[in-house]
Amino acid sequence: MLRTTMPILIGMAVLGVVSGTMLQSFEKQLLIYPSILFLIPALIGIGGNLGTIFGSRFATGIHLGILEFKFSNPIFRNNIIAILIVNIIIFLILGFMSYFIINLIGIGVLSLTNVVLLSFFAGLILTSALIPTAIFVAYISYRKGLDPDDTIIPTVTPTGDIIGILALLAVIVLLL
Amino acid sequence: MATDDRDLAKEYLEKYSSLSSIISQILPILLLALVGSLLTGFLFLEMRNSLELLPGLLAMVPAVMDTRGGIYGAFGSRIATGLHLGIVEPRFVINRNVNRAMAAALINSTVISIIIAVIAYGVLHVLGFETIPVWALVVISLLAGMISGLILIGVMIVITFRGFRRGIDPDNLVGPLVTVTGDLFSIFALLFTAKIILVIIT
Repeated sequence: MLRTTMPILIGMAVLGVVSGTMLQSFEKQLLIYPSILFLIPALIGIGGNLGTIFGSRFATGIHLGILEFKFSNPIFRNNIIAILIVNIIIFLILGFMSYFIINLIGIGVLSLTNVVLLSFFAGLILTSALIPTAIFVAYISYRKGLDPDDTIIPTVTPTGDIIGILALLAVIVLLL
Repeated sequence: MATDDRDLAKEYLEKYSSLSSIISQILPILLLALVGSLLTGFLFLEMRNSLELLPGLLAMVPAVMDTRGGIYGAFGSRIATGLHLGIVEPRFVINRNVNRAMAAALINSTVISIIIAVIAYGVLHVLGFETIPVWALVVISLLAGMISGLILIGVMIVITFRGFRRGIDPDNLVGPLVTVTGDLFSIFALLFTAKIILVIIT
């Protein structure tokens, strides 16, 4: 249990520092649009939640022996589709919520359409990257006989942090 | 045992694996988590000034939260699997599997707390930032890790057990619980231990 998790955790601590530094280096651009700064924790938070739920569900499926890594398997398919649907709904809601909160505080410069699109596309990119990552780690763990409970979540969360920040920056460049 | 396994798998397939059951459980939980994380964000903004009193502390925050999420996410994932496999009963009695998962989480948390403090000190030192002594960072990180870890384990066990008894899939609860309560208590615990250290240092 410890031997599986510790190397992953150390890698994760390093990735945590990397994503923090990355954010730091974009600080100036981010400060022009406070709305985006406001979106980051929520985006990463939800991304992490979706990734963790997906990972935890996959781990259970593997342990119960009912998950197979093909799309015809109902557990495999339903988990992916459900996460994608929830992803679309929740990031649209996040976009609207952020817009109203930042305007309430009076720091908003972006239009409602822009904030909602930012949240929606950043979220979509994030989840589209997280799902294959989780599946890949689950599959490798399954093949190598590692406990997926110990491997999926610790690898998916920090990956999500970095991809979340990158996705947001990419969407900013494309949209604004 | 073989029929047992098949029953469990069948029950899981019927109760927890349909598209509508996954979505209808995850969506409200995520909305609650979203509100929770927005509140934590405000709390964090409020507390930034106090964090800046101890240079070096802020550098540890993302790493502390990240690793906390990983460690207790893994802990929760184990509990959820245990509940689904029937090797963890949703009752508050001593259980070998829960104990083992708990011990692993706490040991991981202790080791990683020390590593984070040392890495943060090293990086800040190399970059030429001012920091408090490395022992102070280690003590803050360790104590905060212990306090928030114990709280998180308690919250996780109580909520997943209660939820499971009411038909809520624990796999859907673990992530949001870790992010919301984990971040919240990590910040509180960091601040609390930082205040103590601040008194000792000055």
